[in-house]
Amino acid sequence: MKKVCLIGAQNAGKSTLFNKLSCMHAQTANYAGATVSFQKSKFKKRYKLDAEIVDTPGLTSLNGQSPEQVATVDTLFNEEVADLYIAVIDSTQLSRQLLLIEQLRDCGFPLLVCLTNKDTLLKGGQILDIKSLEERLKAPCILVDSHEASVAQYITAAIDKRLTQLKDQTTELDRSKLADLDARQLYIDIDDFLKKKQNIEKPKKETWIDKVLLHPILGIFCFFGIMFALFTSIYTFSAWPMDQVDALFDFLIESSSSQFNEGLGTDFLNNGIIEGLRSVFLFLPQIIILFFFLGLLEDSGYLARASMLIDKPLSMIGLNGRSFVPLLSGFACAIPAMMAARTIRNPLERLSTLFIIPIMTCAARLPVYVLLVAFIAPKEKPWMGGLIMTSLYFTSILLGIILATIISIVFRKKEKQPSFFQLEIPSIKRPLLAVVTKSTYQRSLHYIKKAGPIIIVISISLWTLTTFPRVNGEAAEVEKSYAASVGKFLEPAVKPMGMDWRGGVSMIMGFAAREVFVQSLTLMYRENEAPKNELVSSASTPPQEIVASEGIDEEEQEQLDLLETMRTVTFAGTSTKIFTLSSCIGLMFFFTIALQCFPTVAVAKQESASWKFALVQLFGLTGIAYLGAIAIVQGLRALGVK
Amino acid sequence: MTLTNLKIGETAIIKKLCSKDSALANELQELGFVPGTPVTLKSKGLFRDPLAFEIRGTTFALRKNEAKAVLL
Repeated sequence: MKKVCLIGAQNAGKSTLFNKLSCMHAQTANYAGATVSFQKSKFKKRYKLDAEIVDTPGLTSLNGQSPEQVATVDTLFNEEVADLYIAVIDSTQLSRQLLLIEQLRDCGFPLLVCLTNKDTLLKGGQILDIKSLEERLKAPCILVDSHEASVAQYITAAIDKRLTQLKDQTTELDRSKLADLDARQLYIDIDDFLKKKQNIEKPKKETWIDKVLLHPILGIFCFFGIMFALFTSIYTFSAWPMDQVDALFDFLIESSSSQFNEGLGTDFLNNGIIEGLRSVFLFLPQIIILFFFLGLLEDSGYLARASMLIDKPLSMIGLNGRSFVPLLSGFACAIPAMMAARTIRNPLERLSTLFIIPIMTCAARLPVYVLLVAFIAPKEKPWMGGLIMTSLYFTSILLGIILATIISIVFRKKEKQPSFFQLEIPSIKRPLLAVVTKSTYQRSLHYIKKAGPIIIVISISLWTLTTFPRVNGEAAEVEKSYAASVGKFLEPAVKPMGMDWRGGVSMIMGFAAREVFVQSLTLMYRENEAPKNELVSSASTPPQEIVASEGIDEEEQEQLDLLETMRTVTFAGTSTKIFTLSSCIGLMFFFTIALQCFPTVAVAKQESASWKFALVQLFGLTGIAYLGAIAIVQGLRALGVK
Repeated sequence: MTLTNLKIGETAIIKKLCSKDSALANELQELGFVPGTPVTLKSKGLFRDPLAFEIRGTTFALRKNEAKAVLL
């Protein structure tokens, strides 16, 4: 099968074309030792072109210096040699983007040049002399408007024609040529060529939008306004789909319980596998929504402006304006967020960004926060709940700032590489839905692929730990399970945090996915409701009758039940309550920092190419969380807070 | 005079690139900051750093210490 590869500058319109030409199932190809990934797909069936199409990360020059650019160029020359390269170039930016195409030509890449943005060019009343361009680039050139419906058809025909032309030719690339290509000379040549052969006047597209967005004061207002809208929209839009996902899994469990006999197998299916899947898919709506809005902001060109606005403050804490997008993505899910940090040039800034990404309040923490906030906020003051929630977000940002500052102070002296910013600011445009949808799909898929298997494996092993050993063929009570043994062994460690062994087990379970903590609390403290249980005897206050009022569905009832249980449970053999204001604040702090997510550890290893980094991050963050939680709980108690 | 001395909306022609850090100078050259090219300062942002320049039909944000390498 023939292989066609798209190459071009970052905002040349490469990905738009890829989206138009490829089918939905694009694969992400990763290369050993390189933190760069290419998108691969087959052509849409309707174009009747049996070939593979590859999208590459944006390049400004084959001699670029950033790790991502170097890795991309390496991969182009060594791993992904294609039959034809479509050089995508913005027709309104020839004077800058021709450089790359000329480098490609000189290194022997068989090319088809695709000039995008035809509409803007024509609107400006400019005409390109395609013929002289073809002569210069030694390749056919086509001028396209990506918004036109027939554009894909047109390009495929051109590709087909060019492939037939190149039929028996094998691609032979000569990398040694690159050394002779002096950018300065090339640019002078290009300018000369454009002046003589092309009648292009600079398109003046000064827009009022940029006057506002990049304005010193208005720009900041817009920034906070957009961020506020982004985060409130997540909650507004995700509630309904999350309920649906939850209901779907409730339905699955119900139907499997009614289909199969009660027994070990059914229990495994329900509590091992289906609950594991639930943990994987429950946050998906939030992740999808956040990435969708991020995609809109990215494709419209706003995120680049936001990165510029925030570069100065971020550079003061040892980060980079380019850290902004990864950190923002961290509020959805740390896994794709870490991958987004690849564009940061300086190694220390990049590692520092990777280090604090997991502190950002990701979707998985919310169920835990919702529960704990509901527990400590008085019912008659609902605004307090919102206030605590907001402060949890600010705590995570503040802690990120503190950690990044410490990292920068400790390592700055050893760092010899200069810090670069240099960001291209694309012109503001209407985002293309197809592009945004696809990027959302890709990023969400990253989450499912990376996190899914690990979460399910952990869910199954946790099921095993809580179900075995079996007594006389019956499932043991949680109290006597392996999990309980582990929990009881660890109890001295969690006691200073104000937790008993059951809370401790739940915290460990949270390493599958943080929200499993909530599920596990329900499971671990369920025994309490059975009157025969010795633990209940210590509860001098019997569980309050909960009257299910009308309009409360099963799920809310479940949360109310759990909240009620939490209000009554005590340490075994005493009447000291476990869940108090102090222990809940401690728990919240723990969940804010602890790296309770093994999938993230795996991705951190991949992105930093170092087990050392991943492990230091795992134990460092979790250690800080643990010690901090103890300090908070003990401190609050000393101050007389229960 | 360097790029950092420009006022908003002002355009000047690049004379040469000069930096202790040769990687930076190379990098800027690859981006199109080569002698003879006109550059316009578009925006300064809240903290007067980074600055947004228009060059060759594109806007680039450069930090002050990066922009200093470009002499006018």
